[in-house]
Amino acid sequence: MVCIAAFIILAIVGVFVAVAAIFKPKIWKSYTKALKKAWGCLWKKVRLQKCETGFKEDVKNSLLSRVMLKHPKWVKPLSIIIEILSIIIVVVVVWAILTAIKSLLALWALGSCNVTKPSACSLGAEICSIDESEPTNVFEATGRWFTEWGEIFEAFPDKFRTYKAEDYDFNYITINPNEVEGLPTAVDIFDPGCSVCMASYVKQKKAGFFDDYNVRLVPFAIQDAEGNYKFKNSEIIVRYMFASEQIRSGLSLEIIDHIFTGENSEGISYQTKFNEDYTAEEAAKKIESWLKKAGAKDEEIKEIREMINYPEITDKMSQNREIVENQLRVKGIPTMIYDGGKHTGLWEKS
Amino acid sequence: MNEFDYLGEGEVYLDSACQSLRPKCVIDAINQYYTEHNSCGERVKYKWGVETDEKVEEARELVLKYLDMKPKKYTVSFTLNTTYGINLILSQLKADAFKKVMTSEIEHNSPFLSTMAFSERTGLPREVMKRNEDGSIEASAYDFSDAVVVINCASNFDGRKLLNIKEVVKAIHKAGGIIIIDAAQAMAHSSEIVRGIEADAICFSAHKLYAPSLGVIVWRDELMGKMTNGFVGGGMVDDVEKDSYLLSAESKEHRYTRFEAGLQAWGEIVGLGAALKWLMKVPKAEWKKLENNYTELYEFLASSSKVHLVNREPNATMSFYVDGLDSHMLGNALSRENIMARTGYFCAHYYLDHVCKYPPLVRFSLGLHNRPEDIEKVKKVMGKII
Ligand SMILES: Cc1ncc(COP(=O)(O)O)c(C=O)c1O
Repeated sequence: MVCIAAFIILAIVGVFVAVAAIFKPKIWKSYTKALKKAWGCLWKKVRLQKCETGFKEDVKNSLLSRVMLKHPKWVKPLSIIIEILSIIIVVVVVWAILTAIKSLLALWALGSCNVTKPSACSLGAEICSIDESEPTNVFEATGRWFTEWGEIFEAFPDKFRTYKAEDYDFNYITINPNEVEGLPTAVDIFDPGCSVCMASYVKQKKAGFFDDYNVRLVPFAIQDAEGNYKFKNSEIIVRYMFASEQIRSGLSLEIIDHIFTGENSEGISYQTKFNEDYTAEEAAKKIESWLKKAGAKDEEIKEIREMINYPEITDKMSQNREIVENQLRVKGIPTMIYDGGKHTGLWEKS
Repeated sequence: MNEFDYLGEGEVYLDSACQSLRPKCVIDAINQYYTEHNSCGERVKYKWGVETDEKVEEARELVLKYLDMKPKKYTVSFTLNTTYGINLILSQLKADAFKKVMTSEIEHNSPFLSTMAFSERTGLPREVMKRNEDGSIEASAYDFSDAVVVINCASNFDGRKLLNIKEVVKAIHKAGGIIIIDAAQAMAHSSEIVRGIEADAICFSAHKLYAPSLGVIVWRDELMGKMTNGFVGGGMVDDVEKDSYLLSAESKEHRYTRFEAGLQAWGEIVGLGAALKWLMKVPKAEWKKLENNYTELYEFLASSSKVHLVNREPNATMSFYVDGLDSHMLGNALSRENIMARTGYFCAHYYLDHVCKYPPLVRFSLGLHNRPEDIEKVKKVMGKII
């Protein structure tokens, strides 16, 4: 929202100037002259030098000198209003310019123009965003405004480095149970509840991505700053995936494959059912039914059901979260690491 | 005055201190130069050139006559303006002939800055003298020995004059110093203050004297010996060898060339001659009218409790500010009513801004062109505003 407001303000100013430039070259000339003068005056003032009449004074004089002749009494109050307005205009324009610059930098460096709340950025790639908590008061908002700059600059070097999938100590699930030697490694971070992740998965599967790379799937349940899950059953799915993988390698793939590609008898995708419909118990039941179909024995399923609450699984999940949010500084998923790069957003065949 | 009847009705020009309006006879003289005898002065022998030379020579004579100065002692040289005149002298004065440079606090930047530059160039100390409220200087309070003194004899914001100019010049000369008088503001309406004053140089701007844009240096011949050659070129020499030259100014007849490097503004010089002839014939009644006009305006301003005048007494030049009104805005409003007046500090920043701490001011400076209706109009418009 904020960055949109900033862009709108700049666009209005820009359009205004452009129209003036095209249709009234004379006006354009006087604008640039005024701008140069304003700039010169500002530059003097910055260096604590004197500037007898600046741009604001010129505008004020020319506006109020008319008033002075007709209604001399109005000059003072109007002058105060102009002073206040000019401060507001300067603040708004400066803010708009800085915010626009910041948004563009963030879009380039972090993949989203909104650092704190990537979902609020309509300019970024299609993602399921990992939002931070939003500031609740002006002071926090101001502080955040500055820390966001820090985050953006910190992310600059990342744009120029190469990423290696092996460098990150994720708890992952391999698609090819025994990694095929010679194939490059890819990391694929996804949330079972995320529709973009689902779309990516489907595309990747179809395009043979999983055959061309040793893909390490990192199931990741997006949480906000308060720890709430973005998609209500993602946590339970991830827990089941890690637990079942311990029982038998490849078992967890059944779960994600069903969620991402399957639909129920009414033709509703399982992802939608999990996100919008199933309670935790129903979700668990559904997952267990798939495990059974895949050949898991009743005792194994029982074991899995116990394992999902083990601290070991919780640890795996928080380790992954640490890597995603702090090491990779990922603002949204799906995020994939392969071919030396980090790619966020819907996967496209290159 | 019908010399200014080209002025439109309701057009009120109040910036004579910056540049006077030119009487028609001056404009005609310039036109005549351009259309009838356009030529380089002082170097050509053809008919047009001879005519130009005659008029230029006449202009030099008229300047001395106007100032009541002896041609035997003084020379008239032309330049661009007062500022150039002062700088031309200061930049060529020998440093070892002097011990310090002095100016006063109420000066226009023209002497104020050039004395700073002189001090920087020569390493000599610079002293800024106080001026009494009436414009005079406490001559006995200063040590003028071997000093270069550059001061005005009339200020550009309230017209205050160097009332004890004779005493000051005498004191300076007695102590072995020299005095350069900035007469830019005195020449048009208070020339009596400099007439016959034996200053070492008097600099003024013809454009403040109903004449075209031009600078004039009236200087004492002895100054030659105190100068090095710092600004030389065409029209200045009698002979040139590979590494040396002989200045024409060595001889009295061509002394004026000392400050006239290159071709001069012949048309403007001719115009100056016409302006001086006209000025010397302005009837008493016109001077009286000018006095009445500025006195009336001064009294009108002085009668308002909101107006703060810098002037202590009526003068053709008066500066003021109005309580609670920005002067630039006021100037802008007046301009909308076709009243042309200057606003700001009029190049006297040091005194007006830093010493007196005035806010930016409005300056009304009247001239012989102003009509009683002009004053009525200004009073009416100002009365509405304040
Ligand atoms: C007292 C005084 N000295 C010097 C000057 C400088 O004159 P000019 O700009 O013609 O060199 C002025 C001009 O306003 C002046 O009033």
